[in-house]
Amino acid sequence: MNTNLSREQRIFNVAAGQMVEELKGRHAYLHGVNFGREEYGVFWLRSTDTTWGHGWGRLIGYDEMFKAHCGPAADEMFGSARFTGWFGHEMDGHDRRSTNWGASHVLASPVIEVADDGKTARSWYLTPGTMMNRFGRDGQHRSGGWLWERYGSDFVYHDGKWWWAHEQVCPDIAGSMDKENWARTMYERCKKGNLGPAVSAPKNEDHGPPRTDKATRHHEWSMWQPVQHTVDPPVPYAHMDEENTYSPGYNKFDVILPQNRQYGGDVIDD
Amino acid sequence: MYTENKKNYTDDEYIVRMWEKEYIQDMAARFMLAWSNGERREALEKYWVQKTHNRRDASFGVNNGFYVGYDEVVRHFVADYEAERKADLKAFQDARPEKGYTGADLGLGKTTLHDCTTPLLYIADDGQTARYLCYDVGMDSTGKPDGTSKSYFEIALCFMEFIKEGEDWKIWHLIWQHDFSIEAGKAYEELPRILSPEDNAVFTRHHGDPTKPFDVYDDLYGWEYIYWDMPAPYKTYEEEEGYGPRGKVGKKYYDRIV
Repeated sequence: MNTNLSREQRIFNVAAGQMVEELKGRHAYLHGVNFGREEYGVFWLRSTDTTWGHGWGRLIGYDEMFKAHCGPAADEMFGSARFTGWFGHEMDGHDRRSTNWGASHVLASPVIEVADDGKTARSWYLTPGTMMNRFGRDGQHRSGGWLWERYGSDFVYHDGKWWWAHEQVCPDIAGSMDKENWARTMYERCKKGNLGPAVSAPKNEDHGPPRTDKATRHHEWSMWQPVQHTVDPPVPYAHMDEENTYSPGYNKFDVILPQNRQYGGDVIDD
Repeated sequence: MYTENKKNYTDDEYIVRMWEKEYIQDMAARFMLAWSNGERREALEKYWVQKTHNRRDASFGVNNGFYVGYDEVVRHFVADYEAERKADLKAFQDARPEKGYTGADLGLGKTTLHDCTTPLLYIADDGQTARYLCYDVGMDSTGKPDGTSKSYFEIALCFMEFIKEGEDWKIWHLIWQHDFSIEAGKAYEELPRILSPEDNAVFTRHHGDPTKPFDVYDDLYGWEYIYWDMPAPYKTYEEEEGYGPRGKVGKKYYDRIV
């Protein structure tokens, strides 16, 4: 911990930590209903160095990230178009994005650090989450899933506000509630000769959102796998750099933000 | 959406607000633990509003309506619960009269946990009220004298509205939007989308007979209104925007879009 900060800097950094908690909370609830526009369109940084990562790689830049999380394809990500067929007029007027969906990636075990220079903040969370829905895949039976993931998130202070700039999602393990013996499932997989680590879905580069970075960034659990230091909790740091980021190669916010000032044609309001 | 303007606060005012935010979140966790432990009467006395006019307006919402007024909250949250525990205890006493159990505490065989993950909290600009949301990924188990139990994961959104009484923050309104009950060892995905009366009774067993019955939460549509209902920066308390029985939670889209 840097003990040389002024009183004003300490107040600023504590407030920043609380703001990170707020943004993470807002994300968790909005993601739970697949409301991408209300999240990615509102408090994500419009920059070319904004990234969103998963096991399958990274979406690079705000445009690519927004396209993957918002719009018609994302709205139908969980098959909500089928509901009209199942329920007819019961769906009239209701929001299909939320119907049937309950992905609550609850947030636990936070570690938050604010840079000494006050320009960035970083957080690490774990989710012992739920993935519940009422109609499953066929409209006849329910679905109840659980998943544990790690999240590394970076935030940038710009124009008097905190903006979300990087997200790295690291799914570790998931299963069906309260049915599956997940250790047995892994054993059966290994018996079939699948001894290597599993790549988080989608299983190959042709699946999932179009993305610039297709390099695997995290593996699901397996019994042949050492500890993955994909997103370790942040440590106290002076300023964001390649050693203190969840998205290496995309940290030059001091340089790029001025030129991104009217990124995508939208002025970022104070 | 209204944006809290932090630049308007002095450093000292800002410090107080940040301190109170931590205090309120701690208090929410303390209340949830007391709820978990079955210390419900104490939880209400310690953490809920004390002033008469606030108690008159206190409320506890569940999926099928609101318990309105402190006495009604006590009826649901304490009296109904204690009646269930007395029945549980009597079953133990009847099954094993030689064991006694006559001096046993209420709550024998009961294990419950309510937690408050994913906190989201905003204190009003005027510093007099606060709105909070957490996700309660809990469990509830009721033991039986034969050694079996009825055990469930219980998952719910929990909205709370706090009000300041003097220097103390108190819970004024609470809404527990119950999402799922998942029986231990029973595959949830094998349940039909329309529950049998028996399974539905499991799901609704926490809801009771509210003072003001109406459809506060229809899980058919999931968290359809979360964007409008989740806490957001606000200037001051307004009844129609709050978490009380005349607030916005439970309104359908055709009542919200005017």
